Parts: sequence; structure tokens; C-alpha cells
Amino acid sequence: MSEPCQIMYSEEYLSTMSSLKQYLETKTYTEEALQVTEEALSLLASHYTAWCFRLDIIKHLGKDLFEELNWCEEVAIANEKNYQIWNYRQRVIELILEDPALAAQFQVRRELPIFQMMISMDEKNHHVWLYRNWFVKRFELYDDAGELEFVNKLIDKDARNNSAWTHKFFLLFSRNDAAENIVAQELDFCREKIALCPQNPSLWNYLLGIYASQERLLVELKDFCGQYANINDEEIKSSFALETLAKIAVEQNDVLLACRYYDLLLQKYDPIRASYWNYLSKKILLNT
Amino acid sequence: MSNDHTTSFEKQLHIKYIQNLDSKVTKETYEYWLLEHLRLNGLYWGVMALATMNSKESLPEEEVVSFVLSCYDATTGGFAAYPGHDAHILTTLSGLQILLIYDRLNALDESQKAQTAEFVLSLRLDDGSFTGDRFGEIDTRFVFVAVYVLTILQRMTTEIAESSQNFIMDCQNFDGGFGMFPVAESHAAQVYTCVGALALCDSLSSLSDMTASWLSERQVLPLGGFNGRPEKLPDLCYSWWVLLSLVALNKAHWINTEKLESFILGCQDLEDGGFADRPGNQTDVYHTCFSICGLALASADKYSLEEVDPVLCLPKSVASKLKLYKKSSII
Repeated sequence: MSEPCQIMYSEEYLSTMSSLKQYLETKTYTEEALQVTEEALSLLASHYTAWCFRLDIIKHLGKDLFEELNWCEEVAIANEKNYQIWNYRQRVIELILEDPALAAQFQVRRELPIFQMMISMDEKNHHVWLYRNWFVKRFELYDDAGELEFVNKLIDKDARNNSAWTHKFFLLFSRNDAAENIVAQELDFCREKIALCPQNPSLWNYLLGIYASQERLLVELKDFCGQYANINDEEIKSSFALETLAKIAVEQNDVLLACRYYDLLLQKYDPIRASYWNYLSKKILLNT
Repeated sequence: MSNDHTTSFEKQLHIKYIQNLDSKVTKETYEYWLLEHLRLNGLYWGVMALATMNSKESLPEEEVVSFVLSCYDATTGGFAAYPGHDAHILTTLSGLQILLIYDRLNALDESQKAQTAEFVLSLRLDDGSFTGDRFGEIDTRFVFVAVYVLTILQRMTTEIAESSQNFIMDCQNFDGGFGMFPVAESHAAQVYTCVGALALCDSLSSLSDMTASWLSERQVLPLGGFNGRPEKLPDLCYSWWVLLSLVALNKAHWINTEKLESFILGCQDLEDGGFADRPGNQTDVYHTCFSICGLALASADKYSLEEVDPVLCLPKSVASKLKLYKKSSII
């Protein structure tokens, strides 16, 4: 940015912020004040005082909350990295839901296009995923077919999307009431995806997470892991498979076998964490 | 011995960089004003970086303390990022940390300190969590910051420690990491604040190896920096959050420190000083603070830096003066 431009923007900024400050200090809740918050936020979307003040004005003036949601969407799209906007959006929706007449007009699926838009801009946008967490909890969408379809599509597109895997776990396993058929379905799903992408940490975290949440023994995965980590032929397609085999060996109290796996990881397949593999070896040796 | 090209740590350049952040020239830039909502936080990052470089006198102490006090909001007892902004729990901590570094906590009188403690306590919720301000966002960061402020003000209680610990443990995920709230995706910055909160509640023993293991998986080859979540790019600030956590858990040897140092040094601006989030990007005071502190955590002696406390993010010489909450040994 050239010098004169910088100074011009600085002056605009300073004048907008000083108007904002004046309105704030005098608790002036008018259309003009609302306009100033919009200007302030267009200059600095992370100015949370401006967000706080805006909400106060909206409430005071009894503005149309649905219009406000529309306006929020524009700001969100223009400011991908901003997180205050999502908290603000939650506040506006809560205001709508507090009023029976407005609540009757609110449709949950109204939120879906903005999700689609934000996720298409950045499929791992942390703030948007956090908002989606709130959204699912608030409107009890854990069992919603559309929600599962949404997350599965993203996984199909990019199996390395940790946010999507986390969200799927949240939908299906966070309430600890997953039905047998869902567990079976997801284990199949994992096996399929691992076949396509064996060296994927999110996938293995998800798989092992299911086992932990269901309190199942990992030994069930022994043969499956063997396909991706065959120590006899030393054909290792996945360090995570190797690590899981080590966990299984520990489960079965086969100390020597576990140490063999740790040794392979240490020497070759994950040497950057050599101290960690050493630590685990020592731990099981001490426990015998 | 590593074959990597090793950049040297340009200490003097970084001291100058931080001094210049508040210069007359800088104040005329748009970017300076864009950061107004972070001013007090930014000041902490600058002061902490200087203190770690044993150079806090490079900023005029009276002006610094005076600015901190101007951010104190007498109606709430909290500190705002800038005079006139809303008080927030994060900026309250930054204000107190700066005062601690200059050993000027007594710039606040007893009634002000009591009001600050009340401000934080007023943000506490029944489930043990804390909101950041009247806006009501919940975030595990705020639990850490709340117990930290209460520790500084000597207002920690068993009740707060227990309920905070319980809330934090509810935020642990299936992969061993921690998110912003229960079920949120594990994220390195949140892991740090959860580990920090547990440490300040004398509850680190609640954690299994899974957390440290998740953290150790953040290191990305070949450059050796850390990412914040699986399959994301490494960024300097995660190098800090992850390293802090691992040091606090006594597991820093689970990562390759040499490679990390090399990654950090590669993010220096060797002409104007400061550090960027990735090699070649624009520098800022946030990444500058955390790089310097990261180097101090990794190898203070090697870079002639002060030792840093991994939970409190303060020089050890300052941190050692704080009395931390300890669980009662009476059964």
C-alpha cells in the first residue's frame, strides 16, 4: 500500500473508531450508531467491542433479526478467518428462538447454504466447524441423515480432512449410544478408507476412537492391521497399523512382540519420535 | 551433526523490531490501527519477547505500566485491549502478565485487585467453564486464563480447581487432544490451555500419555515445524503451543528439538527482524514472541536467552515468585 493510501485509510479508521467510541460512551442506540458499527466491522471484523455494541443496538431498535442473519453471512464470507461472527450469529439465533412468533418462522435448514459456502472456501475452517458443533447440539441433528451425508461427502472428497472425521465421531459416538449396526457400518467404512489411504492419522484416530468408545478389544483388528504392516516380509504400508499392532501386543501381554514393533517404528517408520517408542518399550518391560 | 543450513539467531535485530512496533512511523500505518483490539495482548507479546532476550529495559517501563493501567476498566475490574474497548478475560491476563514482568503488580491497589478477581469470578459458569466477557463465548482458553488470573491474585480455591479440572477433562477427545469445548476438534492451542489449566489446578496427573503422544505427532517433516491439527501445514505458533505443552508434561524429548529450532530460525526476517508464521511471510509481534520463547524453551543457553516457564509463559525468574494452588495433602 502506498504512503498516501495508508494515511487515508488510517484517517478513515481513526474517524470511524472515534465515532464508535462516542456512541458507545453515550449509549446511543440509533440507526446512525448501527451504521457506524457496520463501518467499523468492515474495517476490522475482529473488533469485538463493535460486535457487542451492535447486538445491543439491534435489540434496542427491534431490528429484523432475519435481515441481520443475512448481513452476518456477507461479513462471514468476506472474513473467512474471523471467529467473532459465529458467536454473534449464535446470539442472533438465540434471540429469534426466544420469541415464539419469530421462532415459528425460523427454519433450521436456513443455515445450510452459508455452511456450504464457507466450507467450500475452506474445508477445514475451524470456526465454521465449531459453529456446526453448536448447530447440531442446539437443533438435535445427531441422527439427521442430511448431516451425515454432508460429512461423508467431505470425507469422500478429502480423506485427510481431520475436521470432518472429528465431526463424524461427534455425530455418531459422542453420546455413547451408537447402535450395533452403526458401529459395524463405521468399521466397514474405516476399512474401505484405510485401503485407499493407509497412512492417514485422522482415519486411524477415528477407528481407534470407536474401539475405545465401545470398550472393544483391539485384537479384532489384528489381521486387518497385518495387511498394512507385515513384519515378516517387512512390508509396512502404514506406521499407524504398526502402532496398532503394538497396542494389540500390549493388550495380549506379548511384551517381546510389542518391543519388536516399537523397534521398527523407532528405527525406520517413525524415527522422529524415537524417544516415545523407547518410552513405551521401557514401560511394558517394567510392567512384566 | 545436522547437515541443515543453520541460521543464526539475530537477537539485536529482534530487540530493535519490537522497539519499532510503537514508533512514530509505525503509528502512521494502517496495520498499526488494525491491531488496536489486540493492543494490550500485543504489548505482552513484545514485553515477553524482550524479557526472554534479557532486554525488557528496551521499552520505557513507566510508559508501559501507565498504558497497562489506562486499559483497566474501573466499572468491571477487567482490562480492555485498548482504552474504551470492552474488558475481556484474555486482555486482563495480558495486563497482569506485563505488570508481573516489570515487578509492578502493586501498581494496582488492593481494591482494584479484588475487583479484577470479582470480574473473573463473575464469568464463571455452573459447569466449571468461564466465558470471556459479557458476550458469553465459552472456550477452554478462558478456563486457563481465569485460573491463571486467580492464581496471580491469590484467589484460587479448591472448589474452583475441582470444577475447572472437571470441565477441562470433559473437553478431552477420542484422539487424546482437547478442543475449545466438549466434542470440539482437538487443536494444539486448546491442548496447551487445557494442560496449563490442569497444571494450575495441580491436576496434571489426570492426563494419560495419549495427550503427549497426540502432541508429538504434530511435528511435520522435513522442516520440523509443528501443525495445530493432523494434516495441516506447520505454523510457528503451533511450535510454541506444542512445545510448551510437552515441556509442561516433561515429554519434550518426544520430538526432535534440533529440527524444531531450525524451523523457527528459518522464520526470521534477517533484514528487519521479527518472525513470521512461515519462512518468507510477513512478520508480526505474536509470532516473534512465540519464536523467541520457543527457542528459550528448547535451548535457552544456546541462544543466550532467559529460561521460560512452560505453564505461565513468563521468564522463570518472574514465575518462581508466584504461589501456585496445590491440592490439600490432608485425606
